[in-house]
Amino acid sequence: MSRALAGRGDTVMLIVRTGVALLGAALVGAIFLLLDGVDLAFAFEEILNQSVGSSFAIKNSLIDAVPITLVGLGVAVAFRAGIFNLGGEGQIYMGALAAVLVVLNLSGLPGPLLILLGLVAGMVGGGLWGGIAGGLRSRLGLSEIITTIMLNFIAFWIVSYLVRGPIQDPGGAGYPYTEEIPTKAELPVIGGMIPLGAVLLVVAAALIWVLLERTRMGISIKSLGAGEAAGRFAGLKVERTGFNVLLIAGLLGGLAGAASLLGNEGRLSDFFSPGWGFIGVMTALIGRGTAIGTLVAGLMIGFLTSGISGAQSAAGIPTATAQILLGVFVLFLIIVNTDVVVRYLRRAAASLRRAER
Amino acid sequence: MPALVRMNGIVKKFGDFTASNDVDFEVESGEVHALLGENGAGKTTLMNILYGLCIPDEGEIEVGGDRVELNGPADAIEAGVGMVHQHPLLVDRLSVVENLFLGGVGNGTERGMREAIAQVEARFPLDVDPQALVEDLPMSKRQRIEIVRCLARGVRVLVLDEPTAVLTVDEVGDLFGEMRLLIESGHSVIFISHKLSEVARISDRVSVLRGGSMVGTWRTGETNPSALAQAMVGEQVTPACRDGKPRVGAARLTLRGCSVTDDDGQDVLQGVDLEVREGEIVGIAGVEGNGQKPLAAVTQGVHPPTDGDVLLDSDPLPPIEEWKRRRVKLGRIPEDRRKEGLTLDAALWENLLTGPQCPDTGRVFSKRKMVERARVLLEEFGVSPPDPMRLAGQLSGGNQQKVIFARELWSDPGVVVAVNPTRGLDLRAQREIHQRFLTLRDQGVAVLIISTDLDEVTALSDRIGVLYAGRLDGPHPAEEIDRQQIGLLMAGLSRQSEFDTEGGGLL
Repeated sequence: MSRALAGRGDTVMLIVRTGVALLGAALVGAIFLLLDGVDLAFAFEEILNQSVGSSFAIKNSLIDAVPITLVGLGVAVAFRAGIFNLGGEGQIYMGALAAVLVVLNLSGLPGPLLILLGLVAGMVGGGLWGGIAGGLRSRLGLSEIITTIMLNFIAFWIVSYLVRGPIQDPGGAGYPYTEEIPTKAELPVIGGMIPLGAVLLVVAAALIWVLLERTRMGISIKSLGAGEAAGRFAGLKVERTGFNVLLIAGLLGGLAGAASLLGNEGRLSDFFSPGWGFIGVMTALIGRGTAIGTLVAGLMIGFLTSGISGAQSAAGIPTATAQILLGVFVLFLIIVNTDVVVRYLRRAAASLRRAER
Repeated sequence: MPALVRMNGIVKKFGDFTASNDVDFEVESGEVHALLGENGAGKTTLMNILYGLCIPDEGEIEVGGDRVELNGPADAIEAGVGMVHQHPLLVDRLSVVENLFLGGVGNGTERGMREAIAQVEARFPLDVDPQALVEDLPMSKRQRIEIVRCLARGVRVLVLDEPTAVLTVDEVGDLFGEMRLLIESGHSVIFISHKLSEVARISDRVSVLRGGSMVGTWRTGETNPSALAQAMVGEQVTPACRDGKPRVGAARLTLRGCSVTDDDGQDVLQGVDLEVREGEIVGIAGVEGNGQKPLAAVTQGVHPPTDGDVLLDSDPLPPIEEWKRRRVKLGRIPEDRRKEGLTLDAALWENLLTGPQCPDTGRVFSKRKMVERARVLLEEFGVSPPDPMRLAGQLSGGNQQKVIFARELWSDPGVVVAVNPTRGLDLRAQREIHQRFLTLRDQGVAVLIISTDLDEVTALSDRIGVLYAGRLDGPHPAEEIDRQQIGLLMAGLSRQSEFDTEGGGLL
């Protein structure tokens, strides 16, 4: 009974926290908008419209949420084991590369099969990248913080080289991108509103939730994240678990790349990802490393991104200001999710309750 | 001769625990005064008080006849008291000179420091290349640097905290030579040790602490090892609580010639032979640091011995990672329940699912069922409250230990290995855990208890072994070995030892 109440209290608290963050970010963001002479009321209304105002807007928002949330889930799993996966960018590029190679070369296959193969190829590509970092960590003790960042560069430049040479679109007027994927390989949009990528997202979040909360491996992961000594004493395979979580992160990062390729971008270029790999890290932080939290955080950032960028031209917001606005929102969401703030708010809530009595 | 240091009526309590109970202690100038006692006897607390690291609740301290208030090591050094730690507190990556400089030697200029060191060296040679990096020096040289650092700051009394525990035999000889030099130049040395042979060799007087109280002070030449061992271990505090002869069966856990060499190349466990049989409790006594850690590690599957075999029944004990898969049923109570035993940030039900003794959960489990099973188990083992959702870190030490017992006994293992199972627990929790061991024994479980608490070992064990310097003496049937003999073995002597009174050494 008391636990159930405590649980509900936490949810209420989470909503309050998020509300405070959005309000604070809007206030600070308003300063920048005013400096640009933007009509505030109109701008915020337009942002709202462009994120949730229509089924088209919702579709776009979900598409924006897909890569960052998938990467974020991978970061979250690793994070729970005390491992930092900063390799989302590389995993996205390798996943998208594998997917585009498969889809372009097997274009004779029927659409659904092509989509399935493309997504699987993406996971293999990303998994390889995550697995390399995992192997270097478990075998040689190399810090994954270093290797994942380095692997980002390698993946990016491999793709950059390929899209400017071997797999460049011959009819692309020299632009650094591949041919467009066949229409039948594009991810469908259910009811004109729900892209298939968003369904993948929910499935992935559910699987990660089960892994973390309902399996012994999840308990091992969390136990290692809380300090290695107990895990080692209990006989957990510490190195193996470290490898596993980086592999899982890679699979999800690769899936993010493939899903964005097939769901939205249509072709691979060397400006394919606008930093999704790093936004994914923030997504996982805002989600406090839990599957559901990361899912919610990813959706929230997706809707904000889409809303702000959609509102740009109508409301006359300069591109730089739009980016600043997005950054302010993300920063505020992270701030209210830091332990210090969470603890402070809990204490404040407790004293409020005492004062009521 | 007036006392150089006089500590009067020192009382220090940590919560309910009295670490120093009205202790009087005096050091004369120009003497080596040995301070002897078991783990937890209060040696370190008393010396931390003298060095200002710990402020006493009651009592007075005089140094050189003047009453002093010691609120930190700076005050102590000012008053003339210095301390050399077993593992000297030096910066490994810096040179000897840089360390002395950091240690506040001299007046802050390089020249001032060189002069200060030169002054010390006139009486006490540093004998170390000043430019050498500390990390390249053996432990004995590092202790020497600390001694010089203290001397250069004008210290008159040096506390050496179990310095010989980390030294080789030759280095111990060198250290004793240094101690004589210190005495000749008018300093006094307080020598903390639990090795009677060393105490006999170097000290002028010896004081014995037990359970926070001062038992007495003797001239070393006028006492004998039996008396000192007796003073150190005292009378049985908790009465033997076992009753009845054990119904002993076949050997379950067997060690044959087990040796362990640590990363520094030290032989920390040497040729240990041991059998633990069904229905008996074997207790391993000894002062901390004499091989308990490696013995625990090899019997709990943390790592295999460097040499020799550990057998469970007749099969080699597999490494711990394999236990779950191979269904190895051996309960393990770790030494450090907060670090090794539990994940403090995790809920109790999750902690219970960690480790090899929990039943199969299937690929994906139902949390409701797991929590319910955990609740039943926690109730069975008397954890209060038996709330599986609580975080392990929120429990008292006694309850934490019960959670570990619940987890480790879940599979009804036939062998249990425990290390210091009641350390830091209150008396009630201690008694409950002791009762648990006796019940296990009566159920036919083979129990090995490695404990530095001699009362615990003697109260529970059917057979008693003593670890000293990595070697195991015994185990002997409990009836055939008395406390005093155990005390002698713990101090590195044979069971019948006498001082050679004429030479001041040992026969």
